[in-house]
Amino acid sequence: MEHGGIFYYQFIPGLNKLPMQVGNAALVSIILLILFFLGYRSLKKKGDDIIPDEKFTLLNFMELIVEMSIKLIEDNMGEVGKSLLYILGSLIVFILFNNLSGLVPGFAPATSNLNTTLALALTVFFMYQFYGFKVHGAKYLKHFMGPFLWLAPLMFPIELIGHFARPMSLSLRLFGNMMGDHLVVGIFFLLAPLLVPLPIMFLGIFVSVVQTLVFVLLSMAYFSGAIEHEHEEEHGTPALEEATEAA
Amino acid sequence: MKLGTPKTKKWVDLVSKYGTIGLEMGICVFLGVVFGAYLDKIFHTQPWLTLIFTLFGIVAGFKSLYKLAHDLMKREAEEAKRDKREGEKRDS
Repeated sequence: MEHGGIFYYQFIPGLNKLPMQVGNAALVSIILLILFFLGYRSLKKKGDDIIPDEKFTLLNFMELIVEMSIKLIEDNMGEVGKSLLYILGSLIVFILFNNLSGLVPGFAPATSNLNTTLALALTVFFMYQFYGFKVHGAKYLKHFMGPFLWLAPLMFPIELIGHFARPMSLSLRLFGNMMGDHLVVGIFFLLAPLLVPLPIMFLGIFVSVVQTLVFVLLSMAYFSGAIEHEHEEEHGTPALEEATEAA
Repeated sequence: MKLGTPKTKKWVDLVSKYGTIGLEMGICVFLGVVFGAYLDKIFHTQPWLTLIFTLFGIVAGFKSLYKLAHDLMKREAEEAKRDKREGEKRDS
């Protein structure tokens, strides 16, 4: 967004010449690095002592984030998810902290710029295609061919369009939600700075968390779609029959 | 917002799945039109490839809708089965 003002990243040498979204993303990443480094150091200092601290410390906070990420990934992907913990966990932390940084004065969230979200979505896109090829080899192309071979010339462009729509919808959703929220808070702040933007800012916290979850859940769905085996089409109708039977 | 409870988890899951579909159907059609127009420009076959790829895009959008309904129905069937099994266990 093209509004003036003073931002924290402009005071850091090396970052002040960068575009706004890159500077903010770098600043948030630096903050994250420091947080995780401090958490790691206090974890190391603690050693094998398993009794939790009496107060809510930084270590508890970092453990909460990491455990939540691991639980989210394992619930949705099972054992396979463990190998994807690095990319998905970094996505969770990066997007969540960038979204929430939009509510702090002096930060402009990097996720309210289409460049950042498109970069994240393209990373997910190329990673899941890569994992598909890694797990299945050349057989991964069968995912694009549809159920029958004679349908392949028809199904291939359709599947191709469907796959290219994924990074676009991922990036546009995150960008639209974050920019909309940021803009609404800004406009309310211009109209009535006292107390009026508060409900919108609460909504902003909610939107930040939900959009992070939506981005990561969809990425996980794409990853497991690329990794899983193509048997679903054959068992498609029994599942439907069971559903009607149960109902 | 409590992440751990099953109700919230299901809610977030449904929001992420259903919230996708509108945007994705629109983007599929858009991508079909853009691909078709680009290929038309290369091969000088206006307007045929645009029309064909627009149809492909529309089909791709509906295919993602079908896939969503299919996945949700399968999961619902699994849940119903699990509920039934638990009910039987309780009865016996």
